[in-house]
Amino acid sequence: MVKQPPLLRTEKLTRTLTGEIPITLVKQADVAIHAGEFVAIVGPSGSGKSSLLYLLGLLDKPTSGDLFFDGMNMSTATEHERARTRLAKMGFVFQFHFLLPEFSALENVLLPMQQLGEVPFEQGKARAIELLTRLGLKEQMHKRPHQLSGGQSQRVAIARALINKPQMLLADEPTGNLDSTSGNTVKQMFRELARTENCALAIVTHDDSFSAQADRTIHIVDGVIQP
Amino acid sequence: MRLLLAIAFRHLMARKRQSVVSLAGIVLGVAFFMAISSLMQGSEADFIRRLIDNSPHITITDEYRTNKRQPVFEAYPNAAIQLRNISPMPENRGIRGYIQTLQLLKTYPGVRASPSLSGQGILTFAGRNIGLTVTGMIPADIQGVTTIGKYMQKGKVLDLETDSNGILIGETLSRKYGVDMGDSLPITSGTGTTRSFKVVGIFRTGRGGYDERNAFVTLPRAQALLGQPNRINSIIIKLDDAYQARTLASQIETAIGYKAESWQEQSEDMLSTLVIRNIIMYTVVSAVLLVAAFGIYNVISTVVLEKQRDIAILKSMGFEAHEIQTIFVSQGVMLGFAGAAAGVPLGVALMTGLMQVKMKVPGTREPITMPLSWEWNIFAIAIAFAVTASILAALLPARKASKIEPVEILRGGF
Ligand SMILES: Nc1ncnc2c1ncn2[C@@H]1O[C@H](COP(=O)(O)OP(=O)(O)OP(=O)(O)O)[C@@H](O)[C@H]1O
Ligand SMILES: [Mg+2]
Repeated sequence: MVKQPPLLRTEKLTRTLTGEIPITLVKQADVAIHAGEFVAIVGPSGSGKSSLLYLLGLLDKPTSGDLFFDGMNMSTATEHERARTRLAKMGFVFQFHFLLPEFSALENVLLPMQQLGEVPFEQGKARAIELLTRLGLKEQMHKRPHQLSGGQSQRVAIARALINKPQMLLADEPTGNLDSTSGNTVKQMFRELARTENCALAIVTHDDSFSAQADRTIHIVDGVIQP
Repeated sequence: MRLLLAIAFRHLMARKRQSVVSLAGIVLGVAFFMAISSLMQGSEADFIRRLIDNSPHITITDEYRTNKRQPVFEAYPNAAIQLRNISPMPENRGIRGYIQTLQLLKTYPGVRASPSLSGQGILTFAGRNIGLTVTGMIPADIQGVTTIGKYMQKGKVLDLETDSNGILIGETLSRKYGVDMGDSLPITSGTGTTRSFKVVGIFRTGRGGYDERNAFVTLPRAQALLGQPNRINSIIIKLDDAYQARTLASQIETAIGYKAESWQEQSEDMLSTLVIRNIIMYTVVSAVLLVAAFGIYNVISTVVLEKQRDIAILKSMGFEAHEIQTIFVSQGVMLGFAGAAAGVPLGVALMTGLMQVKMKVPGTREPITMPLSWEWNIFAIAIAFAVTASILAALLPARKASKIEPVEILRGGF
C-alpha cells in the first residue's frame, strides 16, 4: 500500500460532558482513517462508540484535541465550514433510518444533492435512480417511507448518504434494527458501495461477522481506544 | 431556498387539518379587520364630511379670547399703587368695523363670508309669547356659507331679498302654532321695539328645537329690531378647503382681534372622541388577529416538536441553523399570505354585505346605509398585519427548531 496522508486523523480527541459530575465520553483518542478504508468501531454497550462517531462525523465538538479531515483542521473551522464538509464530503447512516416522512424515497435521496446544489438536478436525479436501482429499490423509488420495510428504508438512507459522493460514510449500528436477512443485504451493500465509490467507511457495530469483514477494527472501552 | 420552501410546504400539507384551522383564524381575522376598519374609516369620513358641510368652517364672534388689558395698566406698567375692582368699560356689543373686516376677508382666496346679527325676540301670536332667536343676514351671502337653502320646505332664502319685510321660520313653529306662508308675525325685541314680519319661507333641519326657536330676517331689519344699527355679532366663513380653517382662523384672529374659531376647534370634543373610538376598535380587531397568530404559533410549535428527528437529520446532513429557521418561518409566511389571500375576498364580501344593510334610525325619515370606506390602505394594513403577526408567531418555534442539536436527538434514538 502506498503511504498517503490519512483522510481523517485525530490527535488526543477528548469529549467531556460538563455537569455536576463531568462525564468523559471519549478520552485522548488518536484515530487515523485512510481513503477507501473500512474501519469497524466495536466495544461494549455504553463504551463511547457513538460518541466517537459523532466526533469523527463533525456532529459533536471535542472538548480538547484536534481533528483533521481532508487536510483541513476541523477544530478551528466555523460552523458553516463544518456543515459544508458534512454535506459535501460525508454521509451518515443511523440505526433508525430518519427518512423525511413527507418525501418519497427518491426525494429523500435527492435532498442532500439539492442542498449542495453543485450538480444539475437531472444529472443528480439520474445518479439517485442508479443508486436506488443498485440497492434493489427500483420499484420502491416513489414510495413514501411508511410504505417501505425497515431494510428498504435503511437502504434508502444509504443511498441518501452516498448521493453527494462522500469521501467517508459514517454509520451507527446500521443493521441494529434489522432482521438477519435484510441485515445481510445492507451489510453487503455497504462493502460493495465502499469499494466502487472509493469511500471510507467508519461503522459502529455489535455484529462480529460484520466487523470481521473490516480492514481494521477500533476497539473502545470506557471511552478509551484499546491498543 | 426552493428546497427549504418545499420542505416547509410539505410539513404543512402533512398536517392539513391543523393548518386549515389556523388558516381559518387568519382568514376571519383579516376579514373582520377589513370590515371593521372600513366601517370605522367610512363613518369617520362621513361624520367629518357632515361636520364640514353643515357647520361653519370659521366663526368670528364679537368676543375676545382674553379680556383686554385696562388702559390704566398700559399707561403705568411699573406702577407702585395697585388698583382693584376695575370693571371694563361698558361696550356696545358687536363686531366693530365689520365692513372693513368683510373687505379684508375678501382678499383671502377661497373664502366666503356672511355677516349676521343674532338676538332674542318675542313673538306674540295666538295669545302666546314665544321666545325666538332672530338672526339677521344677507340672503345671497348666507346661501354660500350654510346649508339652509337645502332645508327650505316652502319658499326660498332669496325671497327675503324681494320682500325685505320677510321672515323664514322653522317647520315645528309653523306646525305647532298653525303659522303659514304669508302670515304676519309681530316680534318684540329686548329694547321694546316691535316689528311685524311676513312669513316668506319655512325650513326644516330635522332638529325639533332648532326648527321651533330660530327665525331668519334680513340684516337691516334685525339691526333695526334689536336696536343695533350698523352692528353685527358674528361672521360665518366657509372655505373651499376646509382643512385650511385652523391656520386661517388664527391669521384672521391676529388681524382683527376678535375671536375666530375653526370647525376643528369647535368640535374638538367630538374629534377626540373619534380618536378614542378608533383606538378601542382597532384594539379589538387586532386582538382577533392576535388570537389567530396564536393559532399559527400552535401549529408551528407542534410541527417543530414532531419534527425533531427530521431536524436532527437535516442538520447532520449539513443544513445550517439559519436554514432550519427559514423552513419554519416560511411556514408562518405561507399561512399568513394564504390567510390574507382568502381573507381579503371574504372581507370584501362582508363589506359588500354591510353596504346592503339599511337601517331606520329614530328621528330620520329615510333609512340610512352604513358608510363604508374602500380606501386601499384598509387592504394593505390588513394584509401587512396578518403576515407580520404570522411571521412573529412562527419566529419563536422556528428559533427553537434552529437550536436543536442533532447529537442530542441521535443519542436519544427515538
Ligand atoms: N447526555 C448524556 N448524559 C449523560 N451521560 C451520557 C450522555 N450521553 C451519553 N452518555 C453516557 O456516555 C457513555 C457513552 O455513550 P455512547 O452512546 O457513546 O455509548 P455507545 O458505545 O454508543 O453505547 P451503545 O452501544 O449502547 O450505543 C454511556 O455510558 C452513556 O451513558
Ligand atoms: Mg451507540
